[in-house]
Amino acid sequence: MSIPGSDPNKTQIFGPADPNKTQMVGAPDPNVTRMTGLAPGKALSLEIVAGRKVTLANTMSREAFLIDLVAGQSLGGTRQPLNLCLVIDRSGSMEGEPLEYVKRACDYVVDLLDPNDVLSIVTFEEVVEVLMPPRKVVNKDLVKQHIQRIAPGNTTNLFDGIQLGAQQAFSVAEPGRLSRLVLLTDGDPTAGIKDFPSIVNLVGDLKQRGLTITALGFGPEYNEELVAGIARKAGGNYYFIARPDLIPEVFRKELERIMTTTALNIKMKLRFSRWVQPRQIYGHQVNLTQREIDLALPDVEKGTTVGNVVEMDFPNHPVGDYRVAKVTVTYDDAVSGQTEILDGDIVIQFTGDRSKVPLEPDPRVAREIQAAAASRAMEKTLMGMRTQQVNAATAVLELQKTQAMLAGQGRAQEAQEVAQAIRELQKGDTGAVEKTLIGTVMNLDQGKRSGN
Amino acid sequence: MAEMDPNATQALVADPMKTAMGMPAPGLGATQAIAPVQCPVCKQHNPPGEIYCVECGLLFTSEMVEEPVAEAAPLPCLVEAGGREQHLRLGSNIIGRDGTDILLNDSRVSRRHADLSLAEDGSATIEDLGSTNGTMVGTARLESGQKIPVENGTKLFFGGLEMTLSLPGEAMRTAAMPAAAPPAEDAVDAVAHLVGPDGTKHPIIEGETTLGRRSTNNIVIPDAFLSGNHAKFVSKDDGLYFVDIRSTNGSAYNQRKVEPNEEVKIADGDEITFGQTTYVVRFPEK
Repeated sequence: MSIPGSDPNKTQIFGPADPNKTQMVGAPDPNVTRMTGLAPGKALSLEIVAGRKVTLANTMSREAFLIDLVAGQSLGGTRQPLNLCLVIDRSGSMEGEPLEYVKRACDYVVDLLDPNDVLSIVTFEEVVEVLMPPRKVVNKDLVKQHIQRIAPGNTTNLFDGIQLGAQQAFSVAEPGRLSRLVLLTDGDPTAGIKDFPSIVNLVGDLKQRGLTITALGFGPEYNEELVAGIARKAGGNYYFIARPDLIPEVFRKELERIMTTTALNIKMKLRFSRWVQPRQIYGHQVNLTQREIDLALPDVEKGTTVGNVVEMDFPNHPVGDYRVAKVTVTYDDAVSGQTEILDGDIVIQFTGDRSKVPLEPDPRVAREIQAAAASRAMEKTLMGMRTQQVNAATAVLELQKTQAMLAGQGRAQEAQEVAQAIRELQKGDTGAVEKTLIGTVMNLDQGKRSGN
Repeated sequence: MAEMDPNATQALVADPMKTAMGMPAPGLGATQAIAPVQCPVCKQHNPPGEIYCVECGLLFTSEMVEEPVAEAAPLPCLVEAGGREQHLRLGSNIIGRDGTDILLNDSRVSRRHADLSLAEDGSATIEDLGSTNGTMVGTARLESGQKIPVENGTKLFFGGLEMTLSLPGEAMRTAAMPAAAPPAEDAVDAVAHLVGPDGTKHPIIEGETTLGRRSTNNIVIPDAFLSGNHAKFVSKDDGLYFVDIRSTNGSAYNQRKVEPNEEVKIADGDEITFGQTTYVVRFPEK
């Protein structure tokens, strides 16, 4: 276990290695990229990059700013014990191979957990039931015996399944324990409350109460809008599992992400100064009429950065150095369990001298805006395919462009996903294309990128 | 200061995070920060120790502060029902849901929905760009590709989303500037104003001021009874003249019909009628 503050990544920020970061410790020039929250031992740090550090005063100006939340490469301590609830679809369509692989995946999860972790398992079909109430994973063989009892049923009562799972998780929720619900489903809800808004509202509610939900969609039948919508609303991850034999691998991957979560319940507040008009926050649907905007951000794993781009208009702003918005981030540290606060200032200089305004925006900001554009382009392609306004050949061309753009930005994982979607498209499997790309769009919109 | 409190400087470094970042060292700026500061720009009273004005965000050590600035002149904008203003630029303003100049985050709005163009004289036209749910001007629905003039206060509906056009008259004619293009030449002082019955004032400038329905004129009046290029004002050494440039429906000067190309000398308070409206010419008070 490392001592808080000994995280090598965090000290590097002060180091001279990165030319962008050394500016931070420099003179009190308000225009340099600003960084705060560097107190040792913090799980996250905040970095703000202005598209342009100088813009025109007394006219209609517009600028974009990147707000990065950076998680270190190591946890900086032992991970918190988990309070994990698996919510498993055992509807009729899961019969046979899928359910066998699910059992194997659950066994796998049990193997990875420590005796300090608490696990509960809920299954749903027409009825929902608690297969195993929350218990510490001490006798692993006993837990596995429970898992073997999972048998296929009939319809899909997703709503009640999530609710019962949440009940289990909340019954043992305690400070210092990381609560997570992992949902696996293979179809549309067919029993109980079926309408999407009710289900998405339910998970939004659960997220508010501190329960993050990861949603795994399996096979060709489930509704990707709903499953990805659940993950997005509940701050968790989304996966499309094309084949039953991939189920254990996805469970492993997700559990690894859960175990390396460094910060959760992340909320960002932006307070805009006078004469500033927020134009858009990429990837977020928010009400921009207020002077203060609150954003809920997804949980962050080690080595991950969450970037958000805020675009602002400055109609007739006076000359001078100004803080155009104040950023306040609160989050729960997954190691200490404590709530932490970071704050930062978005600062720009307004000038009357056109020659002082840089022509090109900062490449980091430009790159994030491009990623947002890639996300919109994919959504458009998806929509075009659904309404049959875009044929497969055109879609392939569009996606190849997007793939090249993502690869050029060093977003290897997203580029790979798009490449996967192109292969699916060439095989004529449009359902799989949608299920893959909706996850890519979600990741891009959340601004998450691994590696710093 | 005579009774400098040795502890006072500590107040500056109360926040450990801020010093870590290389905030201004106590020194020149110290006295500024200890006392409550009134912002020289927005007049907000700030608690001691603030580096930026809590209201307008001014960095107090900023050297760029000019003379205290008056509240900026209003710019032309589209006002959402919630009161949020979307500012317009000269020339084309594409309205839509995705990456457009005016960004409307509403699923009823098409990605590229409409184009609201502002001419340099302050007039505006709206065109529907083939949107799915259509554009309404007041109660009239625009055909796709149809372009019509719109005035201050007009209610526009983009796929049902209501916005009100705000063209703050005079102010915008001098204040609006193109975003990327070099700044427009300074507006010339008006030699007189053409004042409509509703009080709208159109400036008449030195030299020639053209008038008509088309947006290429200095004064654009979106009245169907006017010709595209209807008339002009000519400012000469010996006074201001009005000339009807062979308009279809003609013009009248103090209720008398003006001959085409006749130069009519104008005095303060004279009435000129074209289309369905009578305007009054007002000279500035000397």
